Amino acid sequence: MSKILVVDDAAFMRMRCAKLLNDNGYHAVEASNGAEAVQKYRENRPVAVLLDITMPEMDGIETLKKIMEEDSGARVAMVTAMGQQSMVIEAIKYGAKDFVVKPFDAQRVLGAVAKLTA
Amino acid sequence: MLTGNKAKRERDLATWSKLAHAGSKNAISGLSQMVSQEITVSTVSLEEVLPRNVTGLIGKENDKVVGIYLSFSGSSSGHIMLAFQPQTAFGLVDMAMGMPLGSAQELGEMERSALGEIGNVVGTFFLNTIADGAGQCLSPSPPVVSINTASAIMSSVMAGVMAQDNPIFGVRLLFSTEQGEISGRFLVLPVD
Repeated sequence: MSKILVVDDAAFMRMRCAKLLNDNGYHAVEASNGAEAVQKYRENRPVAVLLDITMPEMDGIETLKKIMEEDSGARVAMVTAMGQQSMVIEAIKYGAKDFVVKPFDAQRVLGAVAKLTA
Repeated sequence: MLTGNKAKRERDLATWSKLAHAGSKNAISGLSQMVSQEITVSTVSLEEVLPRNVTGLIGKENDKVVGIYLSFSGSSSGHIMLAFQPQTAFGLVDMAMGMPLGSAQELGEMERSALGEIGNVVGTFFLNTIADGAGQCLSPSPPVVSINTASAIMSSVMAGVMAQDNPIFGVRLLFSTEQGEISGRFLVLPVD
């Protein structure tokens, strides 16, 4: 079963995303902050990462950089609120492959994960 | 946002009113998406209030309320408050989490997180409309979710505003579903 790392400081968003992935044949691994995400990436080597941009302490961009240092082939999609286009562009510059806008649509999330894991 | 002489103030007010209507509509569309329910805006009003009276915009002083508060900063700054009666807030949590109505009974970590995310989406949708329409850059803070009396909630997050003397303009929005499961107040107070 493909492991997907879900990184979000909001417990509700992690729960919603993890449930969607687990119900659709993936195995979701959760992290609630950037440091935990890097550690879980190292331990689990997930096939894809859904990474929230806005998090306290280490934000999504910094976390993305650390994950890419760990594995330059990491497949990461950023999860973003509307109006964060500049941060999405920055994330893509640092290696993010896709982005999903909140409040997310289930099909859009599954589509992004399918694309990342293809 | 609304300063200067009378003519300028009126122009500002007209512009702000137009943007506030568009922003409010967009904000409620964000709420609709979060809870998968059709929600309609019943009233959008632009009101001049004395800072010491802002509590009245979300309820009677001693009414128990669930408040979702965000501040915003950037080209302008101010406060955003979403306020619901507790049972309505619990209903929103149930809808957002896909649970039967009546499941949420208290504000635990998951319930607070769900309401915070609702505040994030509603606030961001509102601010993006204003920012796009006025050519501004506006960023919301992380949301703070609390349950208390209307008076205590407003005092805890808007003490600075309430201490001022000059009237401020606020956007007040009342909204509901057709069946009335959700009704609430959305308040935006720009402070400069």
